[in-house]
Amino acid sequence: MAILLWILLSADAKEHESGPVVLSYMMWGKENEIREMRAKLDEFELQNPGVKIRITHVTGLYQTKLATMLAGGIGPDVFMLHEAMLPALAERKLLLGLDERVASDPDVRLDEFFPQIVESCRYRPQWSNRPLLYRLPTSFIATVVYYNRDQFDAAGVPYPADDWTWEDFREKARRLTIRDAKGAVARFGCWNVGAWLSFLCFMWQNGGECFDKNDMLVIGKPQYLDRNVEALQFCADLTFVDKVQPNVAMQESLPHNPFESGKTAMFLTGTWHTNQMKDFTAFRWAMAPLPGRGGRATVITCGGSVINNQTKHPREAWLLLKFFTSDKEQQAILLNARGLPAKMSVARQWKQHIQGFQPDCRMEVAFDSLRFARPQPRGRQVSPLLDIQIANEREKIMTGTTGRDGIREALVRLQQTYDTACPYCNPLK
Amino acid sequence: MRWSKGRRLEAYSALLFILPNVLGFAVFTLFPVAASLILAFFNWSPLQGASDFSGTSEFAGLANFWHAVGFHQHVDSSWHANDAFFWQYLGNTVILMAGIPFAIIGSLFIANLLSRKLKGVPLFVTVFFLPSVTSGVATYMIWQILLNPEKGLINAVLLAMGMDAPPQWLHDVSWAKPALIIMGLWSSIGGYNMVLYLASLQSIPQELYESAEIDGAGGFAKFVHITWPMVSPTTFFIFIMSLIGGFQGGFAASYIMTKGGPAGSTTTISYYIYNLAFSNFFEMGYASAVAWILFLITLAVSLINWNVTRKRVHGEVFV
Repeated sequence: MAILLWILLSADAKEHESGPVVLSYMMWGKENEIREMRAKLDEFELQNPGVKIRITHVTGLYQTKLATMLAGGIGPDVFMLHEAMLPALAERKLLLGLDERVASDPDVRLDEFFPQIVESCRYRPQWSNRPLLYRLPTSFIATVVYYNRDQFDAAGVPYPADDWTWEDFREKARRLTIRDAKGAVARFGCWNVGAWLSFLCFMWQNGGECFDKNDMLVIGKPQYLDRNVEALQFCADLTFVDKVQPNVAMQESLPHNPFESGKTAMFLTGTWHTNQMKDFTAFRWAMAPLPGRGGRATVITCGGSVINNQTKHPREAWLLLKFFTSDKEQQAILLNARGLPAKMSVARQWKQHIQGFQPDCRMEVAFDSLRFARPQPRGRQVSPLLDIQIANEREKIMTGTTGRDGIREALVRLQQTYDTACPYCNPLK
Repeated sequence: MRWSKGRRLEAYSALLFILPNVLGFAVFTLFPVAASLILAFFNWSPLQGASDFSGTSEFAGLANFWHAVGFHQHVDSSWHANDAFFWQYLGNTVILMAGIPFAIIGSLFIANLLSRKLKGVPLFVTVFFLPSVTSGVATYMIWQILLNPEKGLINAVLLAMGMDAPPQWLHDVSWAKPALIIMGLWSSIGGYNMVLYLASLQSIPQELYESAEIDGAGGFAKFVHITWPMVSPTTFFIFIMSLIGGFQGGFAASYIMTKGGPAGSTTTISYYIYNLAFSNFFEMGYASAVAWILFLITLAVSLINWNVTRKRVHGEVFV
């Protein structure tokens, strides 16, 4: 035991000697993503002699592992972070706020990035009177509609226009749905309109709101209720009235890649999906923005690593974040298409960088969507009880438990619980 | 008392042999249990860091416990649970135990059949015991496929039998719990309960049956007046263990098959504890409080059971 302790202590001591600074970087991802990251980091090490980076790769329960490491005081210096976990960490001052570094570093100019993405990298913790920057904008994901051009052509349905409406969407979904003699659906018109993020988008498009500017729940407030109900009704009707998208049970029995396998003509999802589609040749595909109602809206999630507030090497960690936003890295993001580059200058040249993609896949849609894009509201992520309740009510709507008339009640119920039990609903705030 | 040298050496080596077990128990069971009791009185999250425990975590007193089981009054003077989920999930946990009587009757029935001297009995014992030795995850996944409303075997059979709209099982708020109960019966009827009953049945003296036959007792009378009372200690043991298991259970099946859904209808207390402690929020203090409440409920139910049911048990109970 004593020997073991001695070895551990001396190993720890060695790191503080004059050797290279070793940064730990924690990430999730598939095998090939680790390899790509290693290659990037090798290049970073070349550019920054004296800094070595050790990757900690987590498969499975990333958040639990991260929390445990942070609890033990051995958290990684720089790490990937799920958007859902950011508020919990920021509230507890576990993330390094980047505003001062940005202000004092002439290399970084936030106006080079799409302003909506910069906004989505900020969060205002309870203890701060202004939003703080926690990520350096690197990549983003917007929710869009992927569609199968071949299936549209075969059905004689015109491609979605950029200013299409809910009614256009529903009409196309109806015409693209194929039923067999018994009435069972062989191919669905659309898919995923009922996921939480799509719920949000449809509420916004209809002039509704889920959270206000202070992250307080307003989904059932009188001024938004009608519009929210209408939006969720539209989503649920696609499943239960028009039957042009599968219910939850059907989704489970169908392949996990419904779009690639041709099971659905339209697929509502985040632009990360382009990574799966870029080398895909079985049919022609393209992107369309989300359809609009009174207004247009989509939701964006910001990618980008964060820095541990307790890191011993904030300077090197900052260098690494900057490295991820360099032009070359931004172009690499375009090429692997797991996200889209946050830098406007690179985004503008997307056509030059995506050789090999289907030329008419209409990637510009994702960038154009930024005009009406909004960051994911954080209100849901400040309380476990609220989070569970929203998930439960959404499931009731999308499994048909509420029924068509029950959607309004579900939202009112959600709001009532929140308003009356707010101290319990919002432990962090 | 002075021990001889050999005796002392023997004692040391004995201690050395049990050391790994005791050490493991202390580190992985005793310490967490003690820690969770302390945590239950604090608002602590691992995100604050273990080293900061004294500095940043606030002492909450009984607030965590009160949050779980307490009620508060609205402006309109109606009463509401502080944590409605706690009660909903406690309800789920109790409802999911509805299978226990059926499991007890079923395993006694099967044990009864298998205790006859027939050809092939060992084979059937093996077959009925199989669910208990199969990996839980594997069986849950297979049941998930069986229960699939679109492609599953169960609904295919129901459709073939002429049912128009068979249940959506795990995707229906009102059918998800029955589905899990049915699955639970499958594994608990032929499992350890059956083995316990088999042993118990074999220890019933044959003379009892023989003299009953002379008095003209039929099969049913023999069962009611001899078998059932004679196996009652086993029934009591199984019942009490099933209740304890029931209160603590439901995590693995829900985690794998339903994620506690749809709409929380299959979330049990133990799954709730996991969610509180290990989802995005890491509310360890509150999760610990709920865990201790669950312990107290289980203890209370077991004590009541012990005092009420024991009187109906024939002969001596285990212990």
